[in-house]
Amino acid sequence: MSASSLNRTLDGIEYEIVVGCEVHVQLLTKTKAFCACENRFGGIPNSRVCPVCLGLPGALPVVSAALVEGAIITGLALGSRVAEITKFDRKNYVYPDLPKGYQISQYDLPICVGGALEIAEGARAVGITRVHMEEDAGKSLHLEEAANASYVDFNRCGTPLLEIVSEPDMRSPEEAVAFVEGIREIMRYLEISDCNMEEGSLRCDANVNLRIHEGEKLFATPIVEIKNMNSFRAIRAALEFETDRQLAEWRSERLTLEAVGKSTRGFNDETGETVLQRTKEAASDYRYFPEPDLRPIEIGRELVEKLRSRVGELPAAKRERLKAQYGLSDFDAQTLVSSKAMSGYFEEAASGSRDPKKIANWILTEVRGVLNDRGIEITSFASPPEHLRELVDSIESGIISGKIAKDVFAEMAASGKRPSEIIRERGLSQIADEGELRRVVESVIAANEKSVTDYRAGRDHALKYLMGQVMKESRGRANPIAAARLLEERLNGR
Amino acid sequence: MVDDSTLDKMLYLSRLQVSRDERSAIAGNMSEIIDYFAILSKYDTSGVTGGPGEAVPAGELREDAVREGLAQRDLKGLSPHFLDGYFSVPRVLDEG
Amino acid sequence: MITELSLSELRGGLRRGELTSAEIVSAFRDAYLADAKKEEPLGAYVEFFDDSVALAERADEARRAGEADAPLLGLPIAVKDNILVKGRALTCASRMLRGFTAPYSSTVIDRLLAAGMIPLGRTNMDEFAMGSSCEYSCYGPARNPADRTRTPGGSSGGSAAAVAGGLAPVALGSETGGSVRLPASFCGLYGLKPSYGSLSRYGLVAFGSSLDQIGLLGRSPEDLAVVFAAAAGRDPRDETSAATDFPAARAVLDGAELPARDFRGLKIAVPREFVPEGLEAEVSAVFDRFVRWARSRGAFVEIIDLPILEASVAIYYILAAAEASSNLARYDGVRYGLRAKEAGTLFEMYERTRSEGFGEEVRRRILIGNFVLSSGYYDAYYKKAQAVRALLLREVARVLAEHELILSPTAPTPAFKLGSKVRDPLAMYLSDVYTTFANLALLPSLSLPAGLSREGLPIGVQLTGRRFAEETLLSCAETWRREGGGG
Ligand SMILES: [Mg+2]
Ligand SMILES: [Zn+2]
Repeated sequence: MSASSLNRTLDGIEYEIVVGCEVHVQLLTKTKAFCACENRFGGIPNSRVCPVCLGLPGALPVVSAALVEGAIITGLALGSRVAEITKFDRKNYVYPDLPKGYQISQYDLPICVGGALEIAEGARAVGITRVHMEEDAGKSLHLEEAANASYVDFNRCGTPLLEIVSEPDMRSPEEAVAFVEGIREIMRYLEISDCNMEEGSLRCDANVNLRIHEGEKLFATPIVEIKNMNSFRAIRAALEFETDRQLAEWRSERLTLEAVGKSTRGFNDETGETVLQRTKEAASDYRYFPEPDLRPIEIGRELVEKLRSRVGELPAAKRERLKAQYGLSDFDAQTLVSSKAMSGYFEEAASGSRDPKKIANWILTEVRGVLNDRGIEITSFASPPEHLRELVDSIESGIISGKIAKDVFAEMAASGKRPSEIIRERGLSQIADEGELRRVVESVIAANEKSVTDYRAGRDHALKYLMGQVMKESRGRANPIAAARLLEERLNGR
Repeated sequence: MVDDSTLDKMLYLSRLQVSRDERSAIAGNMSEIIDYFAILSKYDTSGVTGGPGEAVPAGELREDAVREGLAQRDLKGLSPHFLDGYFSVPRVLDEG
Repeated sequence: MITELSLSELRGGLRRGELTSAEIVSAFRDAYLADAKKEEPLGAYVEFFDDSVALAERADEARRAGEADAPLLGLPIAVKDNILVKGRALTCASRMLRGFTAPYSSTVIDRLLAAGMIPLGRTNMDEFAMGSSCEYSCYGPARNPADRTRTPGGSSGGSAAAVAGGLAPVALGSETGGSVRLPASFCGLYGLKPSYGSLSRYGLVAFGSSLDQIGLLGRSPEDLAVVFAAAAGRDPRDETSAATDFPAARAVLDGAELPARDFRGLKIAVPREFVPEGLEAEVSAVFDRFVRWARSRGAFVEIIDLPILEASVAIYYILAAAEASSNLARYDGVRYGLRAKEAGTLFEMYERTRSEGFGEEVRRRILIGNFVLSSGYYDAYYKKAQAVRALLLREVARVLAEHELILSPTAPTPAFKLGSKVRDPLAMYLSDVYTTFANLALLPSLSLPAGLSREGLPIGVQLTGRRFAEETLLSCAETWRREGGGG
C-alpha cells in the first residue's frame, strides 16, 4: 500500500490513520541533568549516584548548561522557536525508580516550541509541537528467582532527556518510523545523542487513532498511547496491530474518542500485540507546579546565534550537496553524513583532492575499519584529513601502488605520521627508472630458467609467476606496468 | 467541602491511609482550613502572573564536569534493603 | 557562669586565654545532663553529641599549637535536627527518619565547621518543621525555660529552649513561615530569618522550598552576626542562593564590634493590620513601649495600611503545603528511613510506611498540599495563592521603597500553654500571623526581646528589612540591646 495515499479502505470502511509521536532522547553530556554524577550507560549498579539523584533529604538540583545547550541545538535543527525565558516544573507521581516522587520536567514554558521535520516517506513535513528538557528515572529489575521483589538501580536516574513531541501529522506506520529515523539522524549527526534504541537512549511513544469516513460523516476512534516500542520494527508492528485492532473495535462497538477518551497500551514484542495498561480516568493527576529549587533560565540571543552556527547545514541538505558536488552514491553520502565529524573529515580531505570519490572510498572502508577495530570516533583518529588526501594523491600520481598504500595507511593510522614521511623512510616509492627495472628483470630471468623455458613453450601462467618474482625482488616497488612491459620484451627475445 | 471521594483521592495521591474513625475528623480539619483559604478571593489578581524568582542567564549554569558521588559503603549505611548493589522493593507491577 | 555568656563573650575569653574550649563545651554538657534529670526537662536536644568535649579538646590543642586561624575555633553551636551534619543521625523529629545517618553535610554546616565551630547536638523541633509549638515531635515537646508548662514556640523550639535555657550559646534553626522568630519571641532571644538566598539551603531538609531558610538564635545581635557572616555566601549547590556580600557582618567575624544604628531619621512603617484593636494587652504594651523608644531615638514611625498582609497566612499555608506534599514524596521506604514491615505489595509498602512514619500534622499538610495542587482545585488555590503572593511582594516592596523597616509584634501572644492548640490546627496556624509575610516576600526579618509580660513571659518585636539588609536589622537590634534591651 502506498504510504502517500491518506485514505485507506478495508471491508468497506474508509479510514485514515492518525499518529503523533513523543520521542525521548538521552543526551551525550558528561554529567547528569541536575547533578555532577557521570552520565553513562550501564556499569556497576548504583555506582554513579549522589545525594541529588538519589533524592536524599536536603539535596538540591543544579541545572547543567550542557542540557540547555543540547535542547537549543535540537530546537534549532527542527526549526523550533527557542524561548527567551524557560523554566522547570515538577511532575509528581510515585514509582520506586523515581526517587524524589517527582520528575523535574517542563510544563507550560518549554525551551522550544514549534518546528517541523521533513521525512522522506510520503515526502511530507511532520510538525513539531515542542521540545522540552527533563530527567530520566532509574531502572527496576525483575528476577525470575525472586517473584516477590524488584531491584532498583539509580545509575540512569537524572540522565538528561529531551522529549520531542510531534503533531499528529503521520498517516501510516511507515511515516511514523520515518519520523523517528529522521529524529535519530539529526541527533546523531549533531552528536546530541547516540540514539541507541537497545540501550534506551532513544525511546518512542505513539498516540494513534483512526478517522473513519462514512459518507459526509467523520468519526474519530479513541486515542491510544502505545508505550514500550523498543525498535523500529516494533514501532511499525505496534502501529499496524493497533490499526487493525481499532478497525475491528470500530466495526463491533463504534466507540468514539468523545465517548471513551484516551487509554494507554503497552506493546508486547513477543506476541506483537498491544495490551491495555490503563484508561485515562485512572491515570495519575501529575499536579505540575513550578520547580522552586531552580531559577527560570534566561536564554540570550547571542547564545542562540552561537549555537545556530554550530548546527550549520543539516544532514538532509548535506547529503544532497555531497552527492551533487562530489558525485557520491546515495549510500556513500548517507554513511558519511552519519555524524557531523565524519562528514567534516571527508570534506576537508576531499577539498583540493584529485579524486574525492576515492577519498570517500578510503574513509568508508579503511578508516571506518580502523575506527570499528579500536572502538574510537573519527575525532580521535590519528591521521588528520590532509594526510589521507596526500595518501590518495600519491596513488593517483603513481608514487606508490594501491597495495603499498594500504601498508602506508596502516602505519599512518598507528603513528599519525605523514604518508610522504613513511614512504621516504621506508623507501616505498615506485621504481619507474628503466635501467633499474631492467636489472631486476635480468636477475629474475637468470634465477628462473625453468619458468623462462615454460613460457617459451607457450605456458602463459609462467609469465604471471615471473612477474610476481619481479615484484617480490623489488619489494613491491616496481611500477607494475613498466616492469611487465620490460619483462615481456625480454622474454620475447627482443 | 472535603467529601468522601475527595478525601479518598487525596489519600491516594498522598499514599496515606487512615482508619475509619479518623476520616471525619481529618475531613473536618481539612475543610476548616480550606474554607479559611477563601480569604484569597478578596484580592483581584487579574493580570498578575508568576511568583518570585529572578531568571539565571543560561551562560551561568553549571559547567559539565563530573564530580565523584556516593560510595557503595554510603549506600549500605542508608538502608538494610540495599543488597548486592541494588535497593530491593516489593515486586513492581504496572502501576505503583 | 559560662553557660550565661554570649558567644562573643566566650570568644573573647578563648582569645585572651581565660577559657578553654573544653571548659566551655563541658559546661554546656553538664548543664544539659543536669537539666535532663529534672522532673520536666526542657527537651531541647534530641541528641547531645558524646564526642563534643573531645572535639573541643582538639580545638584547644590547635589553638595552643598556634593554628587558631579559624575565626570561631572551639565555639559550640546547637543544630536543628533538619540540617545535615555528615556522619550524624538526622530525623527531623519524625519516626520516618529514625535510623538515618547523614552521608553528607549541609553547606552551612560545612562553613561553620571550617570556621572552627563544634556542633553540640541536634535540637528538638516540630516534625519536618511543621508546627508552631514544638509539640508535633516524635520525641515529645520541648519546653519554655521561662515557664516549663508553656511552649518554646516552633518549629525551632528545641534550638530556642537550648539557648534560652543555657544549654548552648547559639543555635541554628530553620524558617518556612516564622519558625525561628516565633521561638525567639517566646523565649526572649534574638532570632534572625535571613533573606531568601542569603544562606544556602543545600542540606536543609526541604519543607516549602520557595520559603525555607536556615535561621539563627542567640543572646545578642553580635552573636547572630558572626555566625551569619561565617555561613553566608553563594553556594554553587543551591541555585537559589545569592552572591551577596555582607561586609559589616564579616568585619564582626574578623573581630570588629557590631556597629549600633543611629535611629535619627530612620523611617519605620507599622502596618495597621499587625496592631489590630483586639491585640492582646500585654503584647500591645510592650510593642508601644518599643515604638516610643524608637521615636525617642529620632526614628519616624508611621502607621500604614497594607491590607494584603491579611492574606499572608492563607497564601503561606497553601504554598508551603503544596511544596511540602511534593518535597515529602521522597519518604517512600525505598532508599532510606522507615519501611513498614510485612507490606506485601509496593502500594501497601508506600501507604503503610508513610502512615506509620508521618505524624498527624505532617499527614494533614500533605493532604492539603495535594488538594490545592490537584486538578479541579489548582486554579482556585495554588495558582491563586501564587498570584496573591506576587501581589504581596509588590505591595511590600512599595512600602520598603519609602521606609527602611517594617515593624510589628512578632507574635499575637506570649508563649501559650502546652496542649492548648494541638487539637486546633487553624488556631496553631494563626500563631504565624505576623511572621509569614517576610518569608513570602523573601525578606530578612529579626525578632528581638522587647519586654516581659506580668507573668515574666518574654514578648518579642519584629523588624523586617529590604532584601539582603540583614546588617541593618542586626545594627538596629544592637542599638536596642545597648540602650533599651533587657529593661
Ligand atoms: Mg516525558
Ligand atoms: Zn547524582
